[in-house]
Amino acid sequence: MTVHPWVVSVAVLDMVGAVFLACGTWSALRLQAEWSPMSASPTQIHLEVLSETLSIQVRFAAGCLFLSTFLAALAVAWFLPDIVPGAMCGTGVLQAAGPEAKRAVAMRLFGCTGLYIWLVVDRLNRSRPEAPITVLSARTLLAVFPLAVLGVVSTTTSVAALDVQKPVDCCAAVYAAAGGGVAAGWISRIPGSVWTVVFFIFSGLLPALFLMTRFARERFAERLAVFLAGAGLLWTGAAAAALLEVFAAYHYGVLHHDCAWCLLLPEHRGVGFPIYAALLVVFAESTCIPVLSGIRRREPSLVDAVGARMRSASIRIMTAFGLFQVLVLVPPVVWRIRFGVWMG
Amino acid sequence: MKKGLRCEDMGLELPDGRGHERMVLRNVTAVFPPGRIALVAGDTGAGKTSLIHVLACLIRPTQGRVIADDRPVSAWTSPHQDRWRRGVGIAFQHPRLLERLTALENVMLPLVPFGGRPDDLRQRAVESMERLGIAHLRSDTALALSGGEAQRTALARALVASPRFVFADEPTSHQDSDGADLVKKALGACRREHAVVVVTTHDSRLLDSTLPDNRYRLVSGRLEALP
Repeated sequence: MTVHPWVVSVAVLDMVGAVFLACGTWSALRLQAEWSPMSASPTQIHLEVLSETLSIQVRFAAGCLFLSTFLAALAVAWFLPDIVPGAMCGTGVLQAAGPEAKRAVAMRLFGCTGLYIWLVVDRLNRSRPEAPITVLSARTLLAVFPLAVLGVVSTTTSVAALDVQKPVDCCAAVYAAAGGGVAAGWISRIPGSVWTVVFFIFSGLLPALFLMTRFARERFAERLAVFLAGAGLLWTGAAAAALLEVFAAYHYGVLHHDCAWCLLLPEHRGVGFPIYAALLVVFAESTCIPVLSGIRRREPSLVDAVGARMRSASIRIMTAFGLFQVLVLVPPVVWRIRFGVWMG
Repeated sequence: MKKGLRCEDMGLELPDGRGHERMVLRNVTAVFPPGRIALVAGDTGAGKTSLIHVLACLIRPTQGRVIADDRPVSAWTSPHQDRWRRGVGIAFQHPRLLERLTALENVMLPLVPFGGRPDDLRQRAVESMERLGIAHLRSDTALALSGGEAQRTALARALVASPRFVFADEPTSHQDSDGADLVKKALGACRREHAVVVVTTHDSRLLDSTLPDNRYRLVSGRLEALP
């Protein structure tokens, strides 16, 4: 296993986060089985204390795992390429870490999104004095726990597999993919123009749905918010593909370079961080909205709080959407003005 | 919305230390409206202190519930009860002052969660102490106070934040007649501020006074309204 300060930091944060998450999940098991609101039995009072402790533990665990995910991204993008021969960006580091690394990235994404959903549910639950969705919150945590732990395990496995002796071909693999090489993913098989069209369709749909949710009557607004969430999820996929296939080239200043990790490099002013953060926000908030809609139907005492949270979710989606559009669409326009042509 | 404090069919069981549960309060149903002083009398061990603790949500009733301004506060989780309790002033039977702090600092404590400039907090605390005739003791540590002074300091602390609900447990037990008069005046002022005031006592100076608007008697955990 490679002992690098950044790797150690990520591993320690992951371990601490996983331990606290496991403690919280153990409490969640009891809560979902024995929670009995309005009861004054010593068991219920103990469970209420447990519920408070769980909330603190899991919020701390979520903080650790979010931070370790950010540090892991920073390490892969900025620091680990220095110790992997041939690596110029995170792509080379992932190559050196083997196939488990890609799974780790995916599991981390899902684990962090799951934890974010739990945080939203927990906050709603704690907003009401009766804590009306404690059982739902506990069950959400039970569902999220395996995802988050798998993310930690995959990260540890891929760090353990990181080979810093064997050279990698890093972005050469990406260039090969552009030419239809072995590494070409299904995203690259679809022409960039198709992704651009899909991206612009959803980019038009998203603000339209947002405006409709703002001005629609209450009962339609909720349904429209769910549509907005669906469109947000589809937009995230289309935007990520269009970014890599078409728009990233304007940041790199080369005709075709669809490397996701190069956007994070200091040479490109780390522009990938706010871009990916915007995508993550749209993804996470879009995932939350259907959950919120379900809670609203199930728990009448939370109707107002859920309504407010859904409105704030749609505002966050639009803010992140706006940030993404500025960061991704301004460089092509500037390029066009300077050179009079589009790339590709 | 029904203002004031209500208890509906409230009961409380506590462990008796011999492995059994003892029924301390039984089927207590009462309404304590705002702007009125309710006085609860009862013999030692009748459950007066337990009643105060349940009404202030320091203990959860094992049966029934406490409803404050139409909100079932006894069923709430503790963080929300803690927030609600910022609007509650409790004078315990034993003063429970922080001994190493001065009397003034003790009285200032309930104001801290509300924030504000220290000078303003100090001013409000001094006013509350003046109402109870103990402003001259502001610099004395709580340890140096006599029983009666400590008790009035505790009442000044309970009243300093102009609480919506005031619970006083035997507030005159350590007072001479002048001190008892000051306590009565301070509780009367709460009535004028439309607070819900519940006082437990077996002190005849309070029982026979014109202070209370409603009188109750606790007998073996049962609350009976007196004419």
